[in-house]
Amino acid sequence: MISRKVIVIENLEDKISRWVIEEYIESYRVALANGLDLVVSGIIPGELESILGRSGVRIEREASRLYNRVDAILLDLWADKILEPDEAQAANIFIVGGIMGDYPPRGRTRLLYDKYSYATRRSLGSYQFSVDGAIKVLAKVIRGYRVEDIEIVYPLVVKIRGLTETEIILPYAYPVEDGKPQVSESIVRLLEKGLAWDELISLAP
Amino acid sequence: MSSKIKKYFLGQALLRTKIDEYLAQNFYEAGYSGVSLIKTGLGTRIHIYAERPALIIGKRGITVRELQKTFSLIFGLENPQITVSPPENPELNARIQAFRVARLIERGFHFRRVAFATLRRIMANGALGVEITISGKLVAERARFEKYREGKVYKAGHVVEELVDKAIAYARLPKGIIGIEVIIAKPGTPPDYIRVKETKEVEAIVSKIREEIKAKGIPIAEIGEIEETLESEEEGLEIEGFEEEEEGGSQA
Repeated sequence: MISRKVIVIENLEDKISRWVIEEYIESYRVALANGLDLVVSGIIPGELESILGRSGVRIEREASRLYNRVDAILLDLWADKILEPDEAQAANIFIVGGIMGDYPPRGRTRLLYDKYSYATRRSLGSYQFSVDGAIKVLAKVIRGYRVEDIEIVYPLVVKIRGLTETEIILPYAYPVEDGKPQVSESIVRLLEKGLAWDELISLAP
Repeated sequence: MSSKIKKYFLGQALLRTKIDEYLAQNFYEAGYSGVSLIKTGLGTRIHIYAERPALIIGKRGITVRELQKTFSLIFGLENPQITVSPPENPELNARIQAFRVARLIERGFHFRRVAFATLRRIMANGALGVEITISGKLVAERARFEKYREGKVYKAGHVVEELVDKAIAYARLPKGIIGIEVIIAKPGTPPDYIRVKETKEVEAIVSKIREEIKAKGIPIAEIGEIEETLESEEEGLEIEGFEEEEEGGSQA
């Protein structure tokens, strides 16, 4: 018997980056704030495991053994039906693909169909969400909001101040609250400054 | 009859596009920028514009001769005569710049560095504005777009046809294809251009008009006199609405 609802992030990225780490930690914060448990599963590189472990995120090597159940919901962009509040309240487990995303989306969530064969597939609308964005919307649906009523922004535009006008456009949906997109400050800071440095390091021989 | 004429011109445009795409695909390393086809009595004259013509001509003209064969056998052009030359201003040519960005990204330079360098080079050559958009999996594992803009970039209206040059190129990387779009607003006078004239210029125009009026023999008042009359007229004006409001205020 599961006492609290559990969100399982199935990591499908083989490389770690600050972006992945920030998104998973932000997801963990959102889950905690909404009284949900968060588990990160899948093939997780050692470095990512240690960073997430230090932040308090629970890690399971093969969560599908525990959570491939009838009361589980697999969030999938390609699912026929949209997740309803009643279904969300009745379910105990929610599986989210830990995918950083392509544009247009490649539909990598299908890699989880066999792993979670008993889970019901539901979508959060027609837009591809970021991992933390999906969890924020999911938390709202559990609280009773309908997906159609949740305000979202697509795409997210981050403007960088400088001599040259620079815009970073993320082709992913984010929920909006009080007219502001719900993106963590650390992710925006990373996009503005940190990412270029990370990318330069990754290019170095 | 009219449909035949339409068909002829559509065929010509299609052929031109096919040739343009073929050259863009095969000679983007040479900085290909465009082609013009002219039918003459002797055959077809093809003028290819490229940043580095030597790469299109090849050693002792081998590449150009092969190109000649391709044009006659595949595209069906009669007796093609090819001329290759660099374009007038390669720094303000969107296609050349887009291909240059793509080549540098493929060589391993950081996309942001390449974009900024290109942006500055184009602006230094007198462009009104530049916008470079790079999209795809830009080193990180998540797809995103990055847009860099400087100056004025026109995107709608007649001015786009007149001044704006737009091109798209693709950089093929092991992670996937990266799209590059370059929009250049070329130097010129756009319709929204406003320049405030300097005092000297205004004085010269005023004196010229006065001379013209004098020459026609029309009596003209001095500027000082005109200003005085205007002031006196303003003092004498009675604004009815204003007075009514004042009266209303006092009653209340």
